[in-house]
Amino acid sequence: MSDSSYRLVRGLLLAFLGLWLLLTLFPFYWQIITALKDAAETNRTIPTFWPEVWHPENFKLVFAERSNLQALIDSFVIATGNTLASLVLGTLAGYAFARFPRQAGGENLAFWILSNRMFPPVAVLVPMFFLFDATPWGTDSHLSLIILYLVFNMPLATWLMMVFFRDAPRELEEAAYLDGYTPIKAFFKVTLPLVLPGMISVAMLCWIFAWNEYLFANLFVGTAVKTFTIVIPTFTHGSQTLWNLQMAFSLIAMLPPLVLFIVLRRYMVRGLSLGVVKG
Amino acid sequence: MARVTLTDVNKIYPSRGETVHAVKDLNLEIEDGEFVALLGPSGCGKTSTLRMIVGLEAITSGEIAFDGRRVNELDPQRRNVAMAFETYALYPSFTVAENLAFPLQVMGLAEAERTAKVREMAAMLRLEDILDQSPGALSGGQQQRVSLGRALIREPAAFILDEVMSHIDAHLKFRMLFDLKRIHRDLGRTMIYVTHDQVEALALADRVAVMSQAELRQVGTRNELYHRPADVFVADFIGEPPTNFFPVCLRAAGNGAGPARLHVEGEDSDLVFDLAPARAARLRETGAERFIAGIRPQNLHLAGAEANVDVATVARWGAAAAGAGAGAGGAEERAGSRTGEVTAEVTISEYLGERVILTLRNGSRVFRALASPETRAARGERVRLRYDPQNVMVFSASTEALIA
Repeated sequence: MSDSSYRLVRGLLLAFLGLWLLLTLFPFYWQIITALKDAAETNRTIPTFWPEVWHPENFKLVFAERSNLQALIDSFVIATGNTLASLVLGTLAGYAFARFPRQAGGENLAFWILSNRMFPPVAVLVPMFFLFDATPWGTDSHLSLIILYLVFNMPLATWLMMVFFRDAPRELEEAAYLDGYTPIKAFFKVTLPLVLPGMISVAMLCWIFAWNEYLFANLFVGTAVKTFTIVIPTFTHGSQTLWNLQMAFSLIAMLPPLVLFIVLRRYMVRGLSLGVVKG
Repeated sequence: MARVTLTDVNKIYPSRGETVHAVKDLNLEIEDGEFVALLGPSGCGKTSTLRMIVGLEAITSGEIAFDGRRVNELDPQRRNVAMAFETYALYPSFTVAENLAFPLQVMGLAEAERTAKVREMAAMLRLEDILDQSPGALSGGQQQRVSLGRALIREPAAFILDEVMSHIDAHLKFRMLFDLKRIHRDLGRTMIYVTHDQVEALALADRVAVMSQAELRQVGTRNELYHRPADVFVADFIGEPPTNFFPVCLRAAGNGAGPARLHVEGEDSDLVFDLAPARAARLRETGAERFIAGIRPQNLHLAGAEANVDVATVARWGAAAAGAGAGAGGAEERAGSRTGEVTAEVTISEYLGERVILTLRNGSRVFRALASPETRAARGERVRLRYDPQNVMVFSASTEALIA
C-alpha cells in the first residue's frame, strides 16, 4: 500500500473511532455533569453542557435517605451470595460434564442447561412470583433473589466451567492418581488451581449480572429488602425527577463493577474470549 | 517388582450407540524385570492396553494380574505403578524439583530423603540446572525428561512409559534411549514402553509386542520379529523401508518335478521368485495356489556393473550356494539353491547418505531395494537384482499368516 493511501485509511479509522467514542461516552459525560449540578440547573429547558454551579454535595445528599445505602448493601449481599452459589454448582456440574459426559447425561443435558439462559425470563415472571411466594422466606428476601438468579447464572457458570475443565489436561489428574492421590484430592489440588482464572471470570460475569438485574428484583423485593436497581427509579416523584441525585446514585452503583473489572480484567478477557483463543 | 499378566483382555468403548472394540482377546505375559515394548500404529489399541494396566481405564473383560494377583478392581493409586505420559502431564504450578518430589511427598517421605532422591534423579536425567524452573519455561525435551523422572523416582511394581520419546528431537532421543536402557539395567524393574516408532521399540525392549487393529500380532525379540514375522502386518511394520509384497502364484518349473517358483501375478509383470525346496514343500502342503510373497529391500542387491556390491556380501552368497550344493546351469535351473535374480527398471533413486533407496518397476509392480551410495544405477535404467531365496517370505493369501 502506498504511503498516502495508508495515511488515508488510518485517518478514516481514527475518525470512525472518534465518532464511536463520542457516541458511547456522551451518556457517561452527561451522567457525570448532571450528578454535579444542582436541581434547578438540571431542569432547565436549554441544558448546560458544563455545570454553572458545582454541586458535589449530591453524592452526600443521596445517602440522607438511609435506605439508599441499605439498598447498595442488599444488592451486594444478593450478588455475592448468588455468585458463590453459581460458582459452587457450576464448577461441580461443569466438571461432571467435561470429564464424565456419558454418566452426566451427555451433551444434550449440558445443552439443555445452557438453553435455560436462552428462554425469555419475562415469560416465567408471574409463575416464578407465585412459586417463591409459597416458600418460607417468601419473595421479599435476599434468599429469593439469590436462588432466582441461579436460573440465569448457573447455566452460564456450568457451561463456561465445562469448557475450562475440558481445556485442563486430563492427564494431570491421571498422573496424580498414579502418584497416589484420590480423585477428590486430585480435583482440589491439581485441577481446580488450573481453572482458577476461569472461575474468577465466571464469578465476575455472575456477579455483574446479579448486581444489575432489575426486572425480577422490581417484582420480588421492595419492602424488607431493596436492591439499588429498584431504588434508582424512585428519584422520580410524581411531577419532578431529581436528576442530579439519580445520576449521583447510579454513578456510585457503577463503581463496584467498574473496580471489579479493572482489577480482574485480565481474567475477564480470558473468560469472554473462550473458544476464540485457547488458553 | 512384578510379573504382569494379561489374560483374554478386552476393551470395548460404547460410542454413540455403536461399540468400538479397542482391544481384542489380548494375552501377554511380561516377566519380572523385563523391558517390553508395545508397538503399533496409532489407534491399534496399545494405549488402551496400557491404560487398563495402570487402572485408568476399566477392563471390559479378561484379567490383569500383577505377580498372579488380580488387579482389575484396584484403583490406579493402589496398583503401585508409575507412568510417564505422552503429554508429560507436569503440574504447571510446581517447579521441576517439586514435580519430581510429588510422588514421594504423597507417599509421605521425609523432606531430607525427598531432596536426596530428587538430586539423584536429576543427575541421572541431567536436570540439575533446571530444578528451580517451572515446567512452562522448559523445552519439550526437558519436559519429557522431567516427566520421565517423576515416573522413575518411585519404586513401583512396574514402569509404564507412554510414547515418552515422541517429542524429543532425533539427536537427544539417541542419548535418551541409551539412558533409559541404562536406567532399566540399574533398577531392574519391569518396564512397559508404548511407542509407534519401531526404532525405539527395537533399541530398548527385551521383547516387542506388535499390535494392530486391536489385536496382538506377535510378541518376540527383535530378531524374531525381523526374520520370522508372524504375518504380513508385522513384516510390513518392522523394518525400514517396509517390506515389498507381491501377490504370487506357486508353479513348478519345467516338468512339474522341478524346483518351485513364485510367479508374481499381473499380465505385464515378469517377476519370478525362486524358492528354497524345503519351503516349496511347505507351501504345497497348504493346498493353496496363491500366496503373498514378501522380500525386504535390504535383501535385494544390485548385480552387475551398477552394483558396487561389497565383497562380504558376495562371499556370503557364494557360501550359501555352496552349502546348498546344487548343480550347475543358468540362473533358471539354479532356482531354490542359489542366488535368485530379477530385473526391473529404476524409477526413483533416493540418496540418503549412507545408502540409496531405489524404487523399481517391473510392469505394474513397484518395489524398493537398497543399494550402496556408490551405485551408478540411474533413473530409467534396467537393472538386475540378486537375492537369497532364503530371504523370500511367503504368507497365506487368506489369513496373511507366515507359511514359510
